[in-house]
Amino acid sequence: MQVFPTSPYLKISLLMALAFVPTLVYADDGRGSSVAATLGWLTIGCGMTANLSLVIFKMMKKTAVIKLVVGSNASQSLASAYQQVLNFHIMLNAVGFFAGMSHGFMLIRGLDYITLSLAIVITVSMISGIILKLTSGKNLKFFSRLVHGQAILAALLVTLVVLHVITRWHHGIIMHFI
Amino acid sequence: MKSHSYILMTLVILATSAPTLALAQYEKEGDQPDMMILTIFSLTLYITISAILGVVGYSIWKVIKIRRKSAKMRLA
Repeated sequence: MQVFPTSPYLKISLLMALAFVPTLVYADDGRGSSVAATLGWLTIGCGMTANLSLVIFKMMKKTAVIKLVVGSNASQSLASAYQQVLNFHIMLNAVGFFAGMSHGFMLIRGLDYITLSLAIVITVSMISGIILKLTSGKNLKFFSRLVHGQAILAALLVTLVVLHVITRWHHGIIMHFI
Repeated sequence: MKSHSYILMTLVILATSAPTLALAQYEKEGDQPDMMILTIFSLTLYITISAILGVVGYSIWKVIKIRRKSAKMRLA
C-alpha cells in the first residue's frame, strides 16, 4: 500500500505547500466575509484534519497489528508511513496554531474568558508537542509525551472550541460571515 | 481508572459546565450580561488553568515515579 510519494523532493514540496494554506483566507468571495473570522475557521479546519488523520492512522495501525489480516507487507508500509503522517500532523498543526494566533491578535478586543482559556490550552499543546519533537532527554520526552497525549486536554480543547464558536456566534461577531 | 483520573475528569466537567450555565443565564437575562454571568465565565479560565496544572503535575509525578523505580531496580 503506497500512501505517500516516495520522492523526498515531492514530500518536502507538499509539506512546504501547506505553509501557504493561510493565504486562502484572503480570497475574496464577494460576500464581505472578514479575514479574521475566516482565519478562525481555518484554524479549526487545520486542527481537525491534522489530529483526525493521526488518530485514524493510529487506529488503522492498531487494527492491522491486532487482526494480522494483511500480513507483513501492509504492516511494514503502515510503519514506514508513520513518520510522514506525523510530519503532516506537525506541519498542519503549526499552520493552524499560527493562523489561530493571528485570528486572536486581530480580534483581541473581543477577548473573553473562554477565548483566553482556549488560547492557553492550544499553547500548552503546542509547546508540549515541540518539546516532544525536539528533545533528546529521556525524562523530558516522557513528560512531554504524557502532557501532549492526555485525552483530558484534548476533550477540554474540543469543548472550548465549541463554546468559543457558540459564544462568538451569540455575540453576532461572525453572523455576517454566514 | 485511578483516583487522579477522576479528579482530572471532574475538572473537565466543571470547565465545560461553567460556560454552559453562563449561556443559559445569559439567555434568561436578555441582552445585558450581569455580574453573575461574568463570574461563571471567569470560572472557565480558572478551571482550565487548574486542569492544565493538574495534567502537568500528574506527568511530573509519573516521571518521578518511574525514575525512582528504575533507581531501585539498579540498586537491587
